[in-house]
Amino acid sequence: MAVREGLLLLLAERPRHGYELKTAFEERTGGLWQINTGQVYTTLERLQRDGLVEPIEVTDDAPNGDRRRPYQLTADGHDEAREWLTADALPGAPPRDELIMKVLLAANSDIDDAHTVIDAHRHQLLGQIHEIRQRQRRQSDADDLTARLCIDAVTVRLEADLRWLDLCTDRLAAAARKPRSSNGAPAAKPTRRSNQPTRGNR
Amino acid sequence: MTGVLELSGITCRFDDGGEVLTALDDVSLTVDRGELVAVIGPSGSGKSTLIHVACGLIAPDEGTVQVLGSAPPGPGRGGKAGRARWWAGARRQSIGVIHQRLNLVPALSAIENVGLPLRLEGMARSRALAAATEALAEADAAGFAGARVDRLSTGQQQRVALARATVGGREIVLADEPTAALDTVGTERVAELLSKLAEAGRAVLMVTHDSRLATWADRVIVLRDGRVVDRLEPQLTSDPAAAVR
Repeated sequence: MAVREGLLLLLAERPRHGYELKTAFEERTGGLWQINTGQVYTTLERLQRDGLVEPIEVTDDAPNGDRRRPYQLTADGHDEAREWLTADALPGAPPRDELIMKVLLAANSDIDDAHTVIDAHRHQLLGQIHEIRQRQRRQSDADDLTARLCIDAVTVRLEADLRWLDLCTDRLAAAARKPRSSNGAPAAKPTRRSNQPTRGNR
Repeated sequence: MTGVLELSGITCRFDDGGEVLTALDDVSLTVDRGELVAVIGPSGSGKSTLIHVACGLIAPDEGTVQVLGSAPPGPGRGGKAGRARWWAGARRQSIGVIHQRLNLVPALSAIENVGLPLRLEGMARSRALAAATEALAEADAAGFAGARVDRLSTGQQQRVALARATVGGREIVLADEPTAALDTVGTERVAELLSKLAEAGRAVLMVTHDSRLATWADRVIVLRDGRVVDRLEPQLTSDPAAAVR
C-alpha cells in the first residue's frame, strides 16, 4: 500500500509532525485508509534513512512544551513525490480476486451450480451498493468533494463486478442454448460423454 | 398490505414453432406506492413478457393481476372485449408505460407528446398542456418542452417518455429496459428519476438486463428462464445515524 508515498505528498505541501500526518492522511483519503501513528513513525524513519525526509530541529521554547518534531522533504523527497503521482498505478495483472476465482471454478462445473454461485454474489453486491447509496442520500456532506469521489470509487468498482456477473449469466445462458460449443466453454447440459476425452474428436 | 400493482402466480406459455415455451413460470410480485421495484435478468428471461402482462397487453395463461385493488373481468362477462376495455381504461387512468422503443411522435414537440394521451381522451388543449408541463418538470425535462423530439438526444427523449408515462397523475409506472440506449451518465440520471418518481408516491416497476440499474431500486427480483430465482429486499434502516456508521 502507498502509505509511504502518501506521506511524502502531504509533506510536499508543508512540514508536519507524525500525528498531523496521520489525521491529514485519513481525511484526504476520505476514510478509506486508516493508519496508526506507530506506522507513520516507522515509515518516517525509513524515509529519513533513504534521505527523502529530514526532521526540523525544534527549539526548547516551543509553545506548550510541544516537543513533537515536524518533518520536511529533502530535494530527493520532492522529486519522488512528484514522480509517484503519475507513475503506473495498475493493479497487478491478472486480477486474482476471490470473486473471479469462485465464479470461474463454478462456471466450469455444472451450469445450474454456476448460476447459483453468480446469483449469490450478485445478491451480496446489490446489497452493498444499495447500502452505500442509502447512506449517501442521508449524508449531509453531499458537497464534500472527497467524500463524493470516495463513494464513486467504491461503487464504480462494485458495479464493475456486478456487470461482470451479468455477462457471466448471459454467456452461460448462451452456452446453454448451443450445447455443442467447443473449447472448454461450459456445455449446457453436461453429459458424462462430453467431459471425457474422445479419440480423434468428431 | 396490498400493493397498487399485484401479480400473483403468473404463468405465460407461447407456441414457439410447435414447441411450448414457458416465458413466465409462477411469478408473483407486488409494487406499492412509494416503491421502485426492479426485475433483472438476461435477455429471454421473461422480463418484457412480465411488463406486457402488468399492463394488460398479454393475458397470462395462469395467475391474476390486480391494479389498484381490482382485477379485469374474467371470461364469460364480456369476454375478451370486456377485458380489453378494462385494460385500456387502466392504462389511461392508472398505468403509464415506458417502452423499450420510446414510441414518441417525432414531428411533435416534447410537450405535445406528453399531452397526447390526455388529448386523445378528449381533454381540452389548455388543460392537457398544463398537465404536460407539470409532468415534464417532474422528469427534469422542462428545459426542452417546446423542442421537437426528433431533435433531442436519446437521454432527453427518455425523459420525455418518462413524463408521458406519468402525465395526468397516473400512479403506476412500468419501464421496459429504460436505459438500453443510454451512456453511463444518462443511465444514472434515468435511474435517479425513476427513484424520485417512487419517492413522490408512485409505484414504479422497471425491468432491465443491467444489474447496476437495480442498485437504485428499493426491491430487486431476479428472473431467469421465466422463474424468480432471487429476491432482494434490503432493510431500510430506520435509524439514519446507524446507516452512516
